Amino acid sequence: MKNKDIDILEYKKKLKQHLLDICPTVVPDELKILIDKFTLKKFKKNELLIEAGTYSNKLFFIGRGIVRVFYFKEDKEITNALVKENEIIAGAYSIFTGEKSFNNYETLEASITLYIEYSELEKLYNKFHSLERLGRLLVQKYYATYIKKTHDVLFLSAEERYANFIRNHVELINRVSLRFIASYLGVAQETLSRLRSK
Amino acid sequence: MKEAISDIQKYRNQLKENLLQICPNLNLEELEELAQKTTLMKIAKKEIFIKTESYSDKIYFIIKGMVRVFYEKENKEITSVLLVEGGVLAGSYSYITGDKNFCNYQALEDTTVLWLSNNELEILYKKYHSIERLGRVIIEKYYASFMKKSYDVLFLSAEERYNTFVINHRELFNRISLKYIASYLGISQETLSRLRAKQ
Repeated sequence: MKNKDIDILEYKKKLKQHLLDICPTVVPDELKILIDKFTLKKFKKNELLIEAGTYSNKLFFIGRGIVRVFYFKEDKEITNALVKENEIIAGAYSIFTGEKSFNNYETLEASITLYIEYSELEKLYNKFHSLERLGRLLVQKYYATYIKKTHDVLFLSAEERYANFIRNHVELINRVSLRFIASYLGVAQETLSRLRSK
Repeated sequence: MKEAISDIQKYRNQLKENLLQICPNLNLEELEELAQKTTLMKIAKKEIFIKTESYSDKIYFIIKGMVRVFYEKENKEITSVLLVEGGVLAGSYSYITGDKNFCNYQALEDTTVLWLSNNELEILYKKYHSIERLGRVIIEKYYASFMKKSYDVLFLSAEERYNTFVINHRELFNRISLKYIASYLGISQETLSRLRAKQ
């Protein structure tokens, strides 16, 4: 077997586990049909999965690597999300509003992804009830992440946000530049350094 | 008593029409079953029917009236959502994350809703493909409007936000206090008055 085929099998296995975690009742044959539709795509470090100002209809499963989601505001980069292996990322704004993406999605490490077009996904949702369920739970999960972040920015102190981040993403601290983590947490880099030394 | 029964039937028919707008390929029999399981609730003007710190166990469909969603931050009320008839209250923080709500839900007019318990809804999701789809589409719409609002606050000027609001919700101006609209747009009431005078 070629290397690429081994990769696909390995990452599809991870994807399968991830989707089963989200929706344990999914019908195995239907899940297999869905997973077969994913295509492997590799990215170099600092390459864009989705570029701001373009339309995107893709949903990515990250098999390996990290993706940073950011936008520009008044010439400053604001990091919105940091997503690592075994998680899903999509141009949700573009997919659900039909507008161009305002975020850039950039790899911070060489990354391996599996992707599917959202329209392809919707066809399968229509065809199979258990995949429709998976789709509902998937969008609920990502919507939850989004509003949780909004809540945290509104109501938690910098220290609490940092503590949450450590609890949920401790391994990112050694893999991601501190300025991106500071931006993601909405704190100055000096504040982050102070919190870390505590 | 008879009249009350025909009333609820009328509201359920309205609900079915509203839901078909959101998700046109709903199976009509499945939709009928959903409608028949709903309960009528009338909410008086100004009443807060979901309080902050609570856990949500219901989905609400607005048949008539208006609902404002707001939270308090540093003793100020911030209006985050305004919903009128046809709107669905399903994406509450508690329902989605399992944590307590941080928003209050208040009727701004005498409001009529039909509600369904989340348990009942889950049973319908399991039983019927097209109801499960409705659930997904409702959440996707929530997600979209939430992201769009964040985008507008980030990238549009007060004037652009006002113009967008006028295009999409012109009818609200006569039904709602300007202080809520100003809060929703994230501008002061003075700025809102200035923008209105320009029109």
